[in-house]
Amino acid sequence: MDKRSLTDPTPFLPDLCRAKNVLYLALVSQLLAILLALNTSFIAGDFWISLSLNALFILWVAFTCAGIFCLFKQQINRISTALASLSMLLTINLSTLLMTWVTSSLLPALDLLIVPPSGQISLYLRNVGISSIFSIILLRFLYIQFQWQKQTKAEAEAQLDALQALIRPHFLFNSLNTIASLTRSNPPLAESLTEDLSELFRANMQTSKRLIPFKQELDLIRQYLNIEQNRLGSRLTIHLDLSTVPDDALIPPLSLQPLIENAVYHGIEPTAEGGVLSLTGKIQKNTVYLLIKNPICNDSTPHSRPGNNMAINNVRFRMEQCFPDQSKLLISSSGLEFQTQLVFPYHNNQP
Amino acid sequence: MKILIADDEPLARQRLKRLVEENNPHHIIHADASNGLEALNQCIEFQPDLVLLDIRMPIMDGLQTANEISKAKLNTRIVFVTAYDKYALEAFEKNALDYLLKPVKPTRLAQAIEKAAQFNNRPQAIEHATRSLSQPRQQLCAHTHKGLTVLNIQDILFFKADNKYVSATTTSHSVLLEDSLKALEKEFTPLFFRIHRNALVNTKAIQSIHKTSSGQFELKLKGCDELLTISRRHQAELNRFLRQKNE
Repeated sequence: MDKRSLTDPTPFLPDLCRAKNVLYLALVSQLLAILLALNTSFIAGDFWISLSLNALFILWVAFTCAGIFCLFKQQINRISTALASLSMLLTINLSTLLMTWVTSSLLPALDLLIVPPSGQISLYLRNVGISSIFSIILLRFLYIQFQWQKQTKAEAEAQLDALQALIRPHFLFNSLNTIASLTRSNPPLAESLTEDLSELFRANMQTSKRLIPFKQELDLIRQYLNIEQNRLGSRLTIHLDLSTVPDDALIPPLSLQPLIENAVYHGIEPTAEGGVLSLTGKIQKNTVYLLIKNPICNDSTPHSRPGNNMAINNVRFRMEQCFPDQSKLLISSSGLEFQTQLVFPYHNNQP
Repeated sequence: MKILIADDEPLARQRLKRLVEENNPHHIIHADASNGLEALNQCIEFQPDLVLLDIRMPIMDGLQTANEISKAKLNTRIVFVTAYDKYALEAFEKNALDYLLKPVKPTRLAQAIEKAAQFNNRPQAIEHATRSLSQPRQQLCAHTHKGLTVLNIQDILFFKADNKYVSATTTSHSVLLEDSLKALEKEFTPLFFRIHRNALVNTKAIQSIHKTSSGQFELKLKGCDELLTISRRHQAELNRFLRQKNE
C-alpha cells in the first residue's frame, strides 16, 4: 500500500514514434487536403490534381512535424502543457513555412504550388493561416482528450485509494492486540473496544450513503479515538471542542475520521512523548469550519512515514464531489504544529 | 532465560510479558522499553538472551535498534514483533530472521523462545534485512569501549573522513563511526552536503564561506571554530545548492 507506484500520467503529446499514431496523423492530413481541394477546385473541375498536390504538401509538413515530435517527445512531455502547445504550434507553422519555401523557391520547376499573381508573400500568408487554424483545432482536441484522460485516471485512483485507505492494517492488528491484552486484565474495556472497532468497520463497509449528519461522523471519531487512547495511553491527549457545530450538518461519511487518523499516525505515534490532538469547530455564515491540530514529529524529514497524502487526497476528492467548489481542505504547518482545516457549506437536508 | 520486551504500546508489552511468563515462569523479563533507544540501552545494560522488538517505535525504529544491538556485539538474539509490515516481513523471510505477528500466539512465541535458546543471530542477516528497509536514521550511535554515545542527526555539524575512520562532530564533541562517508552521504542527502572528498556538512549549520589568501574557499559552521576546506570540485555544486535553497 505504501510503496504503490503511480504510473506516469498519459502524456499530452501522443507518441508519434508509433506507427498507429503516424497513421492517424496521415489520415487527418488527408481530410484537410480533401477539404481544401473541395473548397478551391471542385467546381472548377481540377479536383483530383488539386487534391494530390495538397495531400503531398500537407503530408510533407505532417511527417516533418511527426519526426520532430518523435525526436523531442521526452522534452515536450516534461514541460508544461501551455509551453508544449506553444512549441508544437510553432513547429507546425515553421515546417509549413519551410515546405512553402521548398516548393515555391527551391523546386519551382516542379510547379507544385501555383504562385498567385500578387506574389509569394500572400502564398506564405495563406499557408500559415491554414496551418495555424488547423493546428489550433488539433491541439485543442488533444488538450481536451488529455484532460479527460487525466480526470478519468484521477477518479479511478481515488476510488482505489478509498478502498485501500479504509483502515490501515497496522491499526487493525494493533487494535486487536490491545483487545487481546485487555481480555485478561480488563474484560469490560476489551468488550467496549470490540464494539467500537466493529462500529468503525461497519462505517467503512457502508459506502452507499452519500451524506450523513455530522453527529454520526463525530460518534465514529469518538469510538476511533477511544481505541487509540487505550493503545497509546498517556501519549495521546485529546482536546475536542465542537459544541457550536450543528449536529445535523451533512458531511460525506468518513471525511473527518481519516484526517484524525492521519493526525494520530503522523503526529502522535512517531513521538516518544506524544502530544495533544485537538479538534475544534465553528459555524460562520452558513459555513462549517473544522480544525485539526497535531504536533509535528521532530525528525529530519517532516513526514517520514509514507502514505501521508492518500487519505487527504481521498477526502478532498469526496468533499469536492459532494460540495463542488464550496469545500476546502487546507493543510498548513507552523513551527511545531501541523494544521488541517476542513471547510464546507452547512446543509441540513438531503438534496 | 533473560528476555527483554520493547514496544511503544503499554498494553502490547503487558500482554507479551504475560505470555512469556506463561511460557516459563523462570524467565527474567524486562518489559518497560517504550522506544528503540531505551531498548538498545537496556540491552547493553542487562545483556538479555532474547529481545522481542516491535518494529514501529518512536525515536529509533526496531530495525535500526536491531542493527545497533548487533553492532554492539551483544549476545542477544533478536526476534521482531509487528502488527503489519509487508516489506519488513519479506526481508525477514529472505534472511531467515525470526518474527512474530501481533496479536502474538503463545505457540509461536514458544517456538521463537526455543529457537533463541539454540541459535544465535547472524549479524550479516540483520544488517542485510534492516538496511534496505530503514529510513534515514534520526540518531547515530557510536559504540566504544566506554559504552554507547547517541547523537541526534540534527545536532551533527559535519562528518569527516580521516584515514580509516569517519568522525561525526557536534558543537560539544566528536565521535568515531563505523559508517563510510559514502553511505552517510547516501543516507542523509539533502540534509548533509559534500564539500570535499573527505567531508559532509550539515546544510542547516552553514554560516559563511571565506576565501583564504591562497584562493581556497573555507566553510564556517555555526557553533564550530574549525574551518572546513571546500574542494574546487565541490565549490560550484555548493554554490548552486545554496542558491536553490535561498530561492
